[in-house]
Amino acid sequence: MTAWRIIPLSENSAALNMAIDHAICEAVAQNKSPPTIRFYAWKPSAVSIGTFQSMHDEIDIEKCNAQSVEYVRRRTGGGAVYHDNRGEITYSVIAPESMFPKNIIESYQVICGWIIESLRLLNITAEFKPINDICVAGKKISGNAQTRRSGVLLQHGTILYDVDVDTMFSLLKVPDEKIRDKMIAAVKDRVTRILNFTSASRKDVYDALLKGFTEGKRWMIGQLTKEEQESAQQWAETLYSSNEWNFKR
Amino acid sequence: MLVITEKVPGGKLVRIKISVQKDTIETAQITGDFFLHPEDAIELLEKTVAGNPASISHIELKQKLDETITKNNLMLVGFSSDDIARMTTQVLQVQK
Repeated sequence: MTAWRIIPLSENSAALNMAIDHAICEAVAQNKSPPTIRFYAWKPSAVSIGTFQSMHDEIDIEKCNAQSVEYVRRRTGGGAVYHDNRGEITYSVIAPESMFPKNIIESYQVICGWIIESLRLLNITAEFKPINDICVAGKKISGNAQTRRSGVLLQHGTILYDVDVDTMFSLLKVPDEKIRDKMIAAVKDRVTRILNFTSASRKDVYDALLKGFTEGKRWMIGQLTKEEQESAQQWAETLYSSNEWNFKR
Repeated sequence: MLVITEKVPGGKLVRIKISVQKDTIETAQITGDFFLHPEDAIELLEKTVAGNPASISHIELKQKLDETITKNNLMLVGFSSDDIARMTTQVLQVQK
């Protein structure tokens, strides 16, 4: 059984975060890197949108620019996510598809199970809510998205630690300005965060995630290879920073 | 430009934008927070919708989409060929 490589929490720009996941996918596809679990945060805060979403339909670009919030299109489907610099932790799991169930929902369930276990270590009871969410007391605490290319599965997702729904909504477009307040109230009703259930520090949450994700696995702490670093820099510059990609839809 | 947006029951948000020229669907764009594997195939689905007469029926469009899905081994998660066909024909109906 190949040992997992764990890449510890690091903070990066939006483009580089997406580019690092991309570079690791390529390295795993070419058998140059082991299956990898990576933890990261976004500096500055950023909004990521799903690969099929329209940037202009989802994001208020002017408000993002005014608040120095970055925006990026992911390679994965799913919805827009506000990644507050201190308010969440993002993870990615990158491994050969053969290590996971072929069925998409079942494979979400496997990886989401690691998050549920991490939350259990914080005394929070969470459950998987298909297609791709994890809920606590019926409210969403984690959103996840998956792609499979060249025999490699990439799943990344966010775990909400301390989310400010008002800030989040100031950056997202709403279909009708007249119902903005109503929509914020509705989202507040649907979304929750770790701090609502425990006074654990962000570091405690990260430690719990490390435990929950590695339990029962052979693993070692690692870092990006030089090739992955160079490839990530390239993808960040040529793809994830480009208007052509980010405004593709 | 015709636009229809729907949160698919039990699924994801789907938005279809269509332009019609001389009773023919000229372009179609499908956006939303759904999943499609492989992702690049979204253009195949859009091309399957485009080029059809604006009078195409729900059933016929669904059949064409299903052919594209089967032929290219696509997996749709959070929406279906039926949703695309239904929404497309619905927005075309409204325009009439």
